[in-house]
Amino acid sequence: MKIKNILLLLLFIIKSTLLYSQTLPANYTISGYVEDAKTNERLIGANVYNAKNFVGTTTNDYGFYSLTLPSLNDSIILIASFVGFEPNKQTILLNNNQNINIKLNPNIELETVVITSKNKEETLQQRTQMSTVNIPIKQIKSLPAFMGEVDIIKALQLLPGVHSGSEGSSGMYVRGGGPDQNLILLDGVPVYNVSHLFGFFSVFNADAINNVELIKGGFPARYGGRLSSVVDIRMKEGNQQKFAGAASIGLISSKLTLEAPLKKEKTSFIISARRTYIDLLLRPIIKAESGGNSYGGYYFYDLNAKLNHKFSDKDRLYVSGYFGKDKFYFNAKDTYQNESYSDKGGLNWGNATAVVRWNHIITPKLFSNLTATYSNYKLKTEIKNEQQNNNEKNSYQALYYSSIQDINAKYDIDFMPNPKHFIKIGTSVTHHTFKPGATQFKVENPNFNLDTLLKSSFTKAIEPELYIEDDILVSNRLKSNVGLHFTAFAVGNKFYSSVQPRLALRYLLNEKMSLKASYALMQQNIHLLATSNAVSLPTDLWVPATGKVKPQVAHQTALGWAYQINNNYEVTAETYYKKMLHLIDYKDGASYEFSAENWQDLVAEGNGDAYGLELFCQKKEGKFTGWIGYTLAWTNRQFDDINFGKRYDYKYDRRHDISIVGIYHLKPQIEISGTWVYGTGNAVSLPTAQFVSAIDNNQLLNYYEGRNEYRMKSYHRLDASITFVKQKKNGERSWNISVYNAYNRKNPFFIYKGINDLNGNTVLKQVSIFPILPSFSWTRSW
Amino acid sequence: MKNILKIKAVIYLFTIYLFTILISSCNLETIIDMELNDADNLPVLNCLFTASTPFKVELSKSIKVLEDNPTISYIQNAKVQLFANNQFIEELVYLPNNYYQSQYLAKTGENYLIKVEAFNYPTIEAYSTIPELPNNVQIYATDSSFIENSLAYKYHVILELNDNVNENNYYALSVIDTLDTNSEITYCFSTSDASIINSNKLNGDNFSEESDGNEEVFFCKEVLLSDKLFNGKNYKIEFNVDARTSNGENIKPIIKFSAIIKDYYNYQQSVIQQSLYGDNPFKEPVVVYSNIKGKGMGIFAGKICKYYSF
Repeated sequence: MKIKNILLLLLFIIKSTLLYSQTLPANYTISGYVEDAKTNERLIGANVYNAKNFVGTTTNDYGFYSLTLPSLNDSIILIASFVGFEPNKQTILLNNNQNINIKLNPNIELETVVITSKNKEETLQQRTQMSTVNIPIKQIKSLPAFMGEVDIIKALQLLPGVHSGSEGSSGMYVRGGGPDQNLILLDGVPVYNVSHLFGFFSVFNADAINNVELIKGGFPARYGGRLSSVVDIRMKEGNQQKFAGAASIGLISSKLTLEAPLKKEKTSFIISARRTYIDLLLRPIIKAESGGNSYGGYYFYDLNAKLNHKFSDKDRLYVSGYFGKDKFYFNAKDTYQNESYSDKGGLNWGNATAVVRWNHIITPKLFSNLTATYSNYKLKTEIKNEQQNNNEKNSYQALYYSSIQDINAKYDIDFMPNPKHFIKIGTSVTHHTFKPGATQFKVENPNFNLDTLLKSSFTKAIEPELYIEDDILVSNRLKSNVGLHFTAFAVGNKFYSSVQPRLALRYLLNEKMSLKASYALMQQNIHLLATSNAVSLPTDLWVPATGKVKPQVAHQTALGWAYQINNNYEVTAETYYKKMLHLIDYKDGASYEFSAENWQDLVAEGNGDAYGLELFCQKKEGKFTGWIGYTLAWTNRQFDDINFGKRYDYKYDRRHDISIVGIYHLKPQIEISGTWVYGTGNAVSLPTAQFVSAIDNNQLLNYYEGRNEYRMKSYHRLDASITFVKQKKNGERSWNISVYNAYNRKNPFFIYKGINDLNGNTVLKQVSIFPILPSFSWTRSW
Repeated sequence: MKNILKIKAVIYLFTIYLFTILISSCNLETIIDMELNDADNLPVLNCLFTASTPFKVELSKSIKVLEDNPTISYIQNAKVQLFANNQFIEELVYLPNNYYQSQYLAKTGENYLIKVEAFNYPTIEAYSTIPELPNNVQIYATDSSFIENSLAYKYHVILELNDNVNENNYYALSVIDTLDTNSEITYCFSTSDASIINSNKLNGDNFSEESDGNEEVFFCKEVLLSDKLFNGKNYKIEFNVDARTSNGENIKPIIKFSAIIKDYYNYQQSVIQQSLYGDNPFKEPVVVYSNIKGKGMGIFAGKICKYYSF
């Protein structure tokens, strides 16, 4: 009944929208793209409006805008603006439909942008969407780097409601959710494992990225499939004007980015590659230590590439891909008398994604996007032992594989019938293949050969989705975003379906201030079985909902207040409540490692609550930019089979979380930046007594009152960086020096019961992992 | 010139600062002082009772978690009362071997309550029972062979049971050398049966060996079988027993098959899991199961055993 009512309401909205657009006499539509004048890069979320009546719109995910205005046989003043760019103003006689591509020049002076007349563009307080933060990529690249590597996910962790969980990690815990509940999209393709180096770096190379948007709640209907957040990362398209690039050498890695037009104004490409060289630096040391017999190491690399071709003003094709790999390896050899021995092995994992996208402008009011995507995450572990003498060879090999693969087709339409409606409709279907672990043993010797494959079963699932949403200007003060997201999940003999209503409201209190509210029902048909509770490991397994394990569900409600001060400062305050159902976790003591049991028998199903208050003040433009964020939050879990059914604090329940971020352009050639973060310590389970076992009188057992009853010490850290830029003949050269953990705070990573080396007493010991870490990088761009 | 000097001074100070901090940052492990809600000095009641034998209750005290040389001390002056089906049976007597023992012999079909009161300790109590032995269990040896190398017999044993779908049954299986429970020694048996291997994780007491291309796991303690393995099914497992000890002595192996209650199973599994993962800081610690009510710890659980020999 409820669903029927919602559908009727949506039909009514669409019908009234179409009627409205038909009844208005002589409306003309101005449409086109907003682009960076220097590179032709499309600008996502740029504002376009008529300065005469302050009616406007914003560009979509592909930089397209469509503005339908009534013709009064008069000219309009069309203004386009975007953070970091000079606004573009032009007078247009509105007497027909017009295609106007607008080019914005980068605001190189870094002075505060003050738009003449009243600033009537859609600013923070005017947007319906709440719980959303868009950090300019320039700002992200100005933040202090960790080991010389700028990291997009680490920048997002500095926002209220988001944190990393443990020290240095690239995991994201958003509003009390788990790390698997974030839909991380690279050019619209979900990336399953966003970590390099056991979670300390993310897979996103900032040099190849154009735009980053984080949504923590009030999810528009076009997004689905995860409970807690959407991170929408868009790659650059490639410079259409001239050959450009950047090369960077850092402490542990180097990067090279090249972009150029293949045919000016028509076809361009970008390719960006990065590799670490810890292994190369350590190889001579390891070789010398082992007498030349052994070597080993670790490295990661990734490659982003994108090609785009403009067939006409109406059609554009994009082909993009990402390929990244982490590899840990070792090879040790030895000889004794006539026999030689060798042990080699390694662990490697990585993502591969590919997208083909066709943008087509059907009419000036109708924009379509057809997409085909592929995403694959693979892990392989291998150990091989060989023994050889003159006569025979014996070998033993053990391999472990796991992977998840998605193939998706998607069709989206943006319909902008008039300035009061922005309708998005889309459908997609995803074919998932889950291979949650296969172990293979191979034995070879003169008398015996064995090749066995255990647990090779894999699961396939089909996930169709359909959505419709409309951003409706109900009155000058009230705006709403209403939508429905439908999803189904067919796995084995089981079929799950869900209709998820989404609603966001904005009420303007005055020009500068608004109140916002939102509700979203989200369903996630996949789960992550984490191997460790402290770090993100490549061995973490993605598994589907099954007949036994239900999909995760979350209801999130949020209330907010937004205020813009002097066109320059944005302030928001938001409260939220999120109820999460059908979460999974390993039962006490259970683990997938070395167990041939079905994973479904190892997990418990439970619920979680998260609620809190987030305060955020951001300055996006001017010599000094940055933000201050504060979060007061609670999150807990309740599983019948964990902690004897008692509710307990989630490990990453963080009562207080503060982040202060500042970037200051001291001079055109010198930029300094700093971040300071503070967070309540993570919850931890500690024993409070020992007692004798009933099975063995000599065995003492630890007594825990419950899970996560204690807190580690609070976490705080200061990072700082300074960048020296020098203009060169055909570009610029910059040096960056960063310091991570500048005052060398020993932040807790884990606690264990140990022995005091000085007096032999039993004590609690805290282990920290990152002391002060200075790093540098050199970049040359042209 | 002045500016260059200033920059040099800043670089100099920065270098000293970095050097000092780097030296001090080498030690990333620190001793911390946390206020723990010490749960020491609480009563610990351990009683795993068997049908047709007296109740033997071990009553000890919990110890501080950071105790340097932890030693177990027993509560000797407690009032330990046994009830069956809500009727008082008797007060258990403290014996010099640190047990409180009953005259009464445990029986199946009775609901037992044990209640402990001791001066300066919180009162605790626990409920338990003895399950029925299934009457459709068969354990027999299909094959025995004399192994020349070890001069001993090796038995190939089969266990078959038909489980009732409406009951939650839990069992334990072990190989012993004698029916005298006081001097009983448990011996290893080996199997390649996945259901046993999966539900009884490899720990320090078990080990695996490869023979003729098949992996066999040797279990040297009691193996637990959960209802989940066989619920409502005809269940059959096969295992091998060497009739010889590690010291080279020949034995006549006895298969001990016990029906246990769920509390017994939960306790034993959680003890094994805590020993396995207790030291891993990247895993959630395992809380040892307890059915003691009140402020105390331990286990009170019953079982019934049946013995098979060949």
